[in-house]
Amino acid sequence: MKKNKRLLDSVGNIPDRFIEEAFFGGIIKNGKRKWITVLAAAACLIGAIAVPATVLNSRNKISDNKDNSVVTTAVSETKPEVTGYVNESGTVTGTGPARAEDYIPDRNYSRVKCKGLTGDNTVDFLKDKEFEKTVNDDIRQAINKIKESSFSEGISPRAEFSATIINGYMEITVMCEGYDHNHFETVEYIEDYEDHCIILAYDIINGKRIEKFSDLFYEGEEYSVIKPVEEIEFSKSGWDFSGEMPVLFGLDQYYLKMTDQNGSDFYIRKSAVDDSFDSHIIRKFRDPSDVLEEGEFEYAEEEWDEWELSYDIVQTDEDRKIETRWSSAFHSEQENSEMNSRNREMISTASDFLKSAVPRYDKLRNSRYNLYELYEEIPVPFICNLHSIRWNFASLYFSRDDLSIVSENDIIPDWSDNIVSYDHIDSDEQSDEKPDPDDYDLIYISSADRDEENEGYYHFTITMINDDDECIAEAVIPADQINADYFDADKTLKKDENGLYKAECYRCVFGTLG
Amino acid sequence: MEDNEIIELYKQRSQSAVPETDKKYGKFCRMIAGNILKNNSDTDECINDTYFNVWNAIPPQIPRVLAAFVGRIARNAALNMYEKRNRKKRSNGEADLVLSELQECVDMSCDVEAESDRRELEEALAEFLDSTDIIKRKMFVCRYWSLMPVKDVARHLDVSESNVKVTLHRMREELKVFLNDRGLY
Repeated sequence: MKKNKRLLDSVGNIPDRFIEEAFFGGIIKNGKRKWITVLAAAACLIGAIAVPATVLNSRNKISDNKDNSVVTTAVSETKPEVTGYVNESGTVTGTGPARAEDYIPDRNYSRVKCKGLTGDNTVDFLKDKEFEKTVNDDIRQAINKIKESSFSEGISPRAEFSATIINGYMEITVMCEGYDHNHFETVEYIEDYEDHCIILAYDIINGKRIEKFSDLFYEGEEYSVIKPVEEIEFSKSGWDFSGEMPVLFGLDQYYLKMTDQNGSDFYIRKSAVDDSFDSHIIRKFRDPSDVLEEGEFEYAEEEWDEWELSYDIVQTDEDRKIETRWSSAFHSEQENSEMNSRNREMISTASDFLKSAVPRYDKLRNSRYNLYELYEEIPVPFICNLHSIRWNFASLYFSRDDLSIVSENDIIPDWSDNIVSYDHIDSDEQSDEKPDPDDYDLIYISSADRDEENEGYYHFTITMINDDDECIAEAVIPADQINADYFDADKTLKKDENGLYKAECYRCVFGTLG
Repeated sequence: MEDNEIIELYKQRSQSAVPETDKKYGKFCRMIAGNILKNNSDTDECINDTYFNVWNAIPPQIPRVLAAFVGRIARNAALNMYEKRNRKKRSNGEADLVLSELQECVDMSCDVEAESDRRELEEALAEFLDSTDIIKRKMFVCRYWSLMPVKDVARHLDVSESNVKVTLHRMREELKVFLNDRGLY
């Protein structure tokens, strides 16, 4: 690098005028808003499912976790189109097709990736050209509508275009993403959902647009946009559902307008498939190949996750705790019950363990940790506010035999002798001192992988936490020093019947234990 | 605050000098350091070093273009930190990508160790950049001075990524010929 770096040094010494010109040359003049193109992206149905509700203030913020100092210009008064029928209790009665009497849940779904997406934001892969023209007219209108709305100074909205089709239903989201020339960064420019985002949903097999939110649900079946447990959380936060129908909806995602304790409007993003998997029309397997142009698409059949899409969030009768209750259509009642009971036990064990290991851990954002969710391969309950900001806190391993916690010492007994590097990432004092595991309250294995450079060795990342520090250590361990009960030479940590459950524990900012 | 007012704060050793610099050029410096280091905590550390160095440098130095002055210090601090962090391992960071691109233009066997050679190379680079049109020049500076990823260069200049890739490729070819003509390649 040293010799090479001289080259970079030479470029580094170019005259100041070039630097000033490149970065402060004024791409965007004051007051000038430049429309480049519009983002038109089909929202990834499956990807959206795991995303917690994103809370945005429609008037004052670019997006959550972004710089709030960018003051937005006035928004237009465009009213949202009528998109569904939500009654006073926040319930939608399905107006979609009737559910067949012999309906059996399909484990597979079809996913189509289309190649025929053209640079001018139009679809070009449907056999029915008249329907295709209708779709493209809709996209064009959506783009024009967004183009007419206002943007903050210094923001260049721009576009990408892709489409994912699930079970013959296509969702296209036309929205803005922008580059902020003032701050040299890309912003998720969804300043105002009503003005800057339009979602289009189609049944491409029957060649029609899904006009109403209620059409997403089987005829006569009820879907609550606000769950009882959410009402509790909203009430705690001083939020109120305005009662308006979703301002936007796609096949999966939809946005509800809310009012905060100060009377300001904001939106929450929700997932209909996530909330009501079995009532949702997208659930039925359909193969759309016949309506797509030959050679213009890639077809794949994938499996719905056997558990992930089959839960409800409830408040228990006994102790009023909020928990996730799983009821997978792919499993028997007894299996569902066993799953829920096992998860309940693990979350309780994990919660007690973490409370005892790090009782005062208070580093991040001045918030105490709350065990929010354990999840990886096994679904376990949510136990705090659904709308909390959360981040990964620790990974715990449970024995599949008795659901006890398996410590890092059980898996790699001599790991601390094999530390090859370490980094004190959250220490108040800059320290290069080798960490002593005894100084830390919580130690866990963050990752375990085969060491690419050393045959027969495995690379472990171990995180150590105490009140003053978070230290990440890298250890390279010979295979014969790893407990074979929990370790598989091919797959590293065992996750089969005789191995481990791995659970990711999260912290949340303003959630409370249920 | 205007640049000359910020520089005046440094000259007076005012404690407001650094916060005012951060207010005006913090994002700029973070962008540069972030492009190189790709790590928030390293970037924060690098920015602290940058302001410390700026504080020590002004006075005696009085920059003509404060943005370039601060940005250059951030760039050097980030590259040094990058080198230190990656000393023991191979890396595929932005700095390595940029270097591999630049290597197309300059004969790595040539000795740019000598001060005179280095100065000659720098002068040639400036001459080359002066000879290109403004959008190409901006692309070059964004990519090779601030080590901006191609995607971000496209965003920053409101052009497509492929436009950036093609233009930079052509520029490297042109630069190679340009340097060759001057006996620098």
